Amino acid sequence: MAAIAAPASRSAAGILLENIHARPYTAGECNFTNGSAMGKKKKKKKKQASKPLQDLTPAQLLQAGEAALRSDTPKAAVDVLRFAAKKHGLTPELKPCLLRAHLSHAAQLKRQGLAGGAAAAAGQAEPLLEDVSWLTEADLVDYISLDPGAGAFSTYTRYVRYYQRVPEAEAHLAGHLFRSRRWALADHLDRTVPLKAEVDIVEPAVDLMDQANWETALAGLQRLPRRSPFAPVRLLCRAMSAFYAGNDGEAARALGMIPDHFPLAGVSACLAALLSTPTGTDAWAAAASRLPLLWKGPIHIRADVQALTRRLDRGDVHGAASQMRRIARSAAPENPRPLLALLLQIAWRAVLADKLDRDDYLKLASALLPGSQAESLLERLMMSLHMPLTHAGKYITSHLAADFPDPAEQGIAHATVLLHVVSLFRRIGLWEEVEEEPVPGPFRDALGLASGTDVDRAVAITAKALRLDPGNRSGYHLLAELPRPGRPDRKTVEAALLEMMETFPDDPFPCLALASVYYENNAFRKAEHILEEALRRAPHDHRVIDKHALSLLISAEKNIRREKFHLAGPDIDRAGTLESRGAAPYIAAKRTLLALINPLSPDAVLRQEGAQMSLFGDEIDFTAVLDRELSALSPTDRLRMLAFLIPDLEAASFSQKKSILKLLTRRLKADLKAAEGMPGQEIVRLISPLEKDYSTVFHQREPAPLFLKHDKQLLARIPNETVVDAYDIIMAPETLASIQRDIRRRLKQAGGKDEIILAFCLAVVRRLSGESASYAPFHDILDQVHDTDVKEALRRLSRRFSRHATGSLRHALAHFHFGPAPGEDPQFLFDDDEDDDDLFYFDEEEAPWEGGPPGMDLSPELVPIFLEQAKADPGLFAEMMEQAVDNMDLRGAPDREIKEVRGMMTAVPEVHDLFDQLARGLDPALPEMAGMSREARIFLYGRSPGKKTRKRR
Amino acid sequence: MLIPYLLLGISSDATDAEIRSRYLALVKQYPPESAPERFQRITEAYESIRSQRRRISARLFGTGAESESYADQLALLAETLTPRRRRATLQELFDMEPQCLKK
Repeated sequence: MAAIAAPASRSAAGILLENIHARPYTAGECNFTNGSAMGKKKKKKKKQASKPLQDLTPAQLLQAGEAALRSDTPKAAVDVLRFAAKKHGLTPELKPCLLRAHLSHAAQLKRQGLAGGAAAAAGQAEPLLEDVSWLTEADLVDYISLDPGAGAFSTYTRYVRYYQRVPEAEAHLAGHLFRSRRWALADHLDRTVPLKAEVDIVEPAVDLMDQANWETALAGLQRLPRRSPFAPVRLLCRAMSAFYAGNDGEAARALGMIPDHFPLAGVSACLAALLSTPTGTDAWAAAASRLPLLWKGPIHIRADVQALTRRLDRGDVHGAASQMRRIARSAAPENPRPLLALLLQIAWRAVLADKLDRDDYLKLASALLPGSQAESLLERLMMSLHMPLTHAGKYITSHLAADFPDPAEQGIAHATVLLHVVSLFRRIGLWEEVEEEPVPGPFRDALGLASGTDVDRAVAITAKALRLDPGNRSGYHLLAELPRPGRPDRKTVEAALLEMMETFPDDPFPCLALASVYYENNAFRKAEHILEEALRRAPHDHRVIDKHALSLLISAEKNIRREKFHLAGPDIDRAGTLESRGAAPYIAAKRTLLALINPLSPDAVLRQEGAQMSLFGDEIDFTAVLDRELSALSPTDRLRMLAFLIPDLEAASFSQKKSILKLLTRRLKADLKAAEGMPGQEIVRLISPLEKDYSTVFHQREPAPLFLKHDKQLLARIPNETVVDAYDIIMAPETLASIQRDIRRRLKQAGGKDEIILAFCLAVVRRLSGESASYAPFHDILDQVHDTDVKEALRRLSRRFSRHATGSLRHALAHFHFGPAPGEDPQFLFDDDEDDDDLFYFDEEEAPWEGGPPGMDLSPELVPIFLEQAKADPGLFAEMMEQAVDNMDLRGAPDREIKEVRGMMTAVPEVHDLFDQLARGLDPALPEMAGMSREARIFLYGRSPGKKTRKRR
Repeated sequence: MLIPYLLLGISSDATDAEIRSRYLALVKQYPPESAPERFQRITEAYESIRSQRRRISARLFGTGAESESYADQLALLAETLTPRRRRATLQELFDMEPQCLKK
């Protein structure tokens, strides 16, 4: 049979397969007539290959084809079987096998991703299907699943004429239509196939899906029968609609019902898996990246941000920079700069939390933003850290116009910067720092600091802000709260508030604020007039009513002191008619006072003749007066009424003073006892001092000392969460002992954060009372604090308490820095007990730094002399540096802190010059300089020893 | 400061009216009873940029409502930048199908 000898064990089919694989039969080779050696060789080989096929019987060829199919070589099967068909005709046995061969081939191509080739291969089976009487259902489904063309549709039509409809086949047909959108293919279907009519429902829905309008598409598909072959399309719409509605459960359920043969089975499965993955995880990001068109925004943002946080935690500047770039580029690829600026603003917090060095941060900003933008950002950030006026001036003069090119916005922005700076000072409470900061000339105008004025800087700056932005309501509020020690300040404030009255004609606030200003100027008549305007503007505003009542009480008090009781009485009565809840206890107190000291009071029994006179027939009359006044008041107001009345009566002269006061004190004690169940917040209100506007109404604005005197457990009833507020409110020399007792009692049981806070309060109180003169307790407390939140809580508390202190303590608390403040210690820099330091005393009787650190009063002519001496004996100078570090308590301090202290000192130009010249003149490589400690070198040179500049990548 | 704009989903040059309109739409979607945390964030964001003056202040110095901790601020930023669901068309789903079929 075959020219090729074959081992007996190999079948004819096997031999054929070998030959076919070795040299596939092609029609072209049959026509090959080239006489070249290669051609002859080919021809010879072809002759050898084709010969076996030629000689095989139809049965053998069929067998060979089936064998090829079994061995998963469908192309070979196709070749053999087609040859068989060509040679011997398409027999009934051959037809199904050839069909399966074509379909297997098509399936193989499809698996390889060659959809077009698969369709073509499947299409080659079409001629076999003219007659479908022999076609099995399985073959039909296989064929239709692979052939998306018209052949599949017409074949199915022919099939259903003979046999029943095949749902699986129709599902594939529906899939073809859905994927291809070639709706006209359905015309090949018979009308008896419902699929054909359903195209009219699906086609418009698909158009909507193409516009991403899944919800309307779903509505349109509701008309489809439940078992329609297009049902998966409806499931897809339901899933997508639920997905966009945020109903992931519903979406997952719908996706889970989509069959594997659906054209979007892959997307459905991926989306279902994604919806079951927790968001924000790496797994989620990996799953989402397979469906990128379903998301807008950076898919890996959470992981990226976590990585950035870790780098900031470690102080890894370079890592942080690259991570920021990555985040900005992925989140805002068109314009990453605003996001970079935002990330830098956030990273600034790392500097404030001592995670990042400030110098490194400056480099970071410069690396990530263009020069001018980086500088603009840095000036704004530095305002909150150090020399706010200078940085504000720099920002306004150098960057404001570029950041806000629109003139209207520029004015508002300028005002905002000025108000921000004043608010910073207000937060710290060190108003003298506003005055002391040296402001370079070019910045003064920008800040509103005209020369030759007596106006307080804070007032001047705020007034300038309001001229720039007259509609800034909060600016006026800020101005009204600023200290205004002198008349020029009050004049400036008055002018601005009058402007506010014009700008905001319905707002009573400027009237109320002006009233306070007029009271300070003793311009009572003006105050009354302006309050009438306030009442006109807001007759029901309780602030206005309370202020009006206050003005009447002030007037009454004035008249009482002038013993014009006939005028005081009507004032008090008018105040009473206003029904001011806020002023009610004080009105009652004044009325009671007047009843006692006014001889013409209806409650008084007075004999003019000078006989032994008692003001009241007996105590019952006064008690009736007292009861009448107290009955309308709440328990808290009753106590406050008594607390302000008693000191006033102690300062007054009237008959039976002693017995009346005794009665009132007994009443106070009784009411305090009755109020033992008073809630903590109410106790805080009880002990709160009166506003300063009441300073001309009562002798004593602080009721706390009296309450604490008669109820030693009063503070104990305030819970820990609010007791610090109470301490802040009542802190005064008279109450320190009570506060300290209360703190010590609480410390016995406190733990955790409460314990630290209370310990800090105790340290402050002991310092205020003079029991302690050292900052060591503060350091001890801070050394125990590692939690950032607790440290921030202490920082805020420290600022709050600073207003109760003076001098260096005030400075320390305001800045939360407990080393000796500049200017505090006369031996600040060169504390030296040695006698042989006359090197630095040019006149033994007048050491140039006596009474203050060198920088503060160093005369320019002394600087070169100082330098000369330092160069002559660098060893001694180095020792002095070390001693200065110890005196300033900088030993062991982080670099940042040492630089900060240095920065504060070199803010003074003379000191800056001195340090600059010392650093240049004293070579760090000198053995004496190189031998200095880290702290001393940073203090002198401004940088760490051996610190190398990192190379940029 | 970008975060309020990101939280509200509006551009940085939105007008007062646009900001308010967006805010009202969001609080309808996230009322305080059912989404208190989201409602609070949306409201804080709105308050910080609802007027020109406030927007300028936010650009200069932030909104002042931010947590002190940079970690918290970064976490909030991550939340605002978290990818939003994008309306994909049918064709786009088909475009993603080959990638989804790969193992």
